[in-house]
Amino acid sequence: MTTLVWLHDDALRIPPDLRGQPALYVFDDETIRARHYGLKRIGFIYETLLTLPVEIRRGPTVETVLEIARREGAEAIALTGTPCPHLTATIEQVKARYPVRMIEPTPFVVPHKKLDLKRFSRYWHKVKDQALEPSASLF
Amino acid sequence: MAPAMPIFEEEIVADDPPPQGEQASEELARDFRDRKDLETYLHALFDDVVGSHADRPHQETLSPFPGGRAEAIDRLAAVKPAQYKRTRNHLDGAVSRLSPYIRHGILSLSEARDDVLERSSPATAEKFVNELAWRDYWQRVYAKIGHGVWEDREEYKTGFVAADYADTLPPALVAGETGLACMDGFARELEETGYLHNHARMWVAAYVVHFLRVKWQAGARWFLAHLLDGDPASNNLSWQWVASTFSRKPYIWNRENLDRNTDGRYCAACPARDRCPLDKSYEALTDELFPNRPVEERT
Repeated sequence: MTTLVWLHDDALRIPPDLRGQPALYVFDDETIRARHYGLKRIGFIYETLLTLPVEIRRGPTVETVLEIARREGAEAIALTGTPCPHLTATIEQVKARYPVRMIEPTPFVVPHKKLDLKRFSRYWHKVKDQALEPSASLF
Repeated sequence: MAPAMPIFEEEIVADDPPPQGEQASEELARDFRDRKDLETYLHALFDDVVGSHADRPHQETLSPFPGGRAEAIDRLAAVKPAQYKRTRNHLDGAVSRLSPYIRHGILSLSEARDDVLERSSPATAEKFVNELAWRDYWQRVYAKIGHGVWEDREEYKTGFVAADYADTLPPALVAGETGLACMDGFARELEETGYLHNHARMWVAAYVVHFLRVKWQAGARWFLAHLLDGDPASNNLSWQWVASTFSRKPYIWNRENLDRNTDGRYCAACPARDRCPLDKSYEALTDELFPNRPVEERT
């Protein structure tokens, strides 16, 4: 089964269980403008991509991801989740047209209770003990 | 110390773009002679997209931070949690400079945490882990409020309202031409490297919002245009913490604080060293900067 790994700005990495699968990153001019990226940032991302077995393309994100998924005959597109609202909206557009599998890295903490996010100190008070325990993270 | 630069093996000129109408996208090159070759290629590809920008008055070069996970792993291995705890607020302190790698998912927070806990006790690692937790916290807030990271989370606690703050940064600040050696040095470092020590970020943010009385959003956009680790959550919400729209009180600093944490490298040669606007006690600065703030709330 072929899965296309879609790398994005919040996840420039191929998850361990998807190594060997085709991977893609898309530079999208609209996204670059929207995020205020300059050459330093583009260069950092590009240099990271050069260390990975990933196809680097430039084009509109949704169309490009779908184009490469179809070309590869991928049964699904896999990517790491993100809180970014721009990217989440883009992912939703892809989901409407292709099977998508979301992957989550090992969480920093898994809160047992609902967190109060009004101030960091309240959050830290609830998660501190767990944050100071190793999680045997896989990625 | 300049980080090692990756060596690229051979030069391949970019493929011609595919004929219009056949593909939605074009494949970009993967092989470059060296970093300069990559930089030239990226200028040709993206200069029109990046465009001229008030936050980026000069043409950029690549950052000295090399991309890639191998670099992140090396930096993680070099973290010394005990020294970090003791010296992190000093500009030459033992900070990790891992943030660009963590922000882009090249290294996860839990990997960084697990690594330092393997090498040190929880008590020794706590400060480093606490700083990792700030990013986890900002990301959780981001997941909850999304685009709301661009809006004031709360009222300013400065005695002023948002309308009292200017919308744009003074061009002299962005150009590094204020005449204050510290601010000019930080502006140049930001532009040239895409990185600033956290304490420098706080000094700049407080200067922008409280001394220049400019909206934090203008400063946040400037930082996002340069910082390799910039993301709207950590960046904007930290600016709001300094501004007091996401904290109990405004963050300010004075010359003594900066001088101590920089070993005097800015103040000694500063053109404004004899008329530094920050050479005052915290009490005097608070009275000067926040005259409308109720006395009992001043600190």
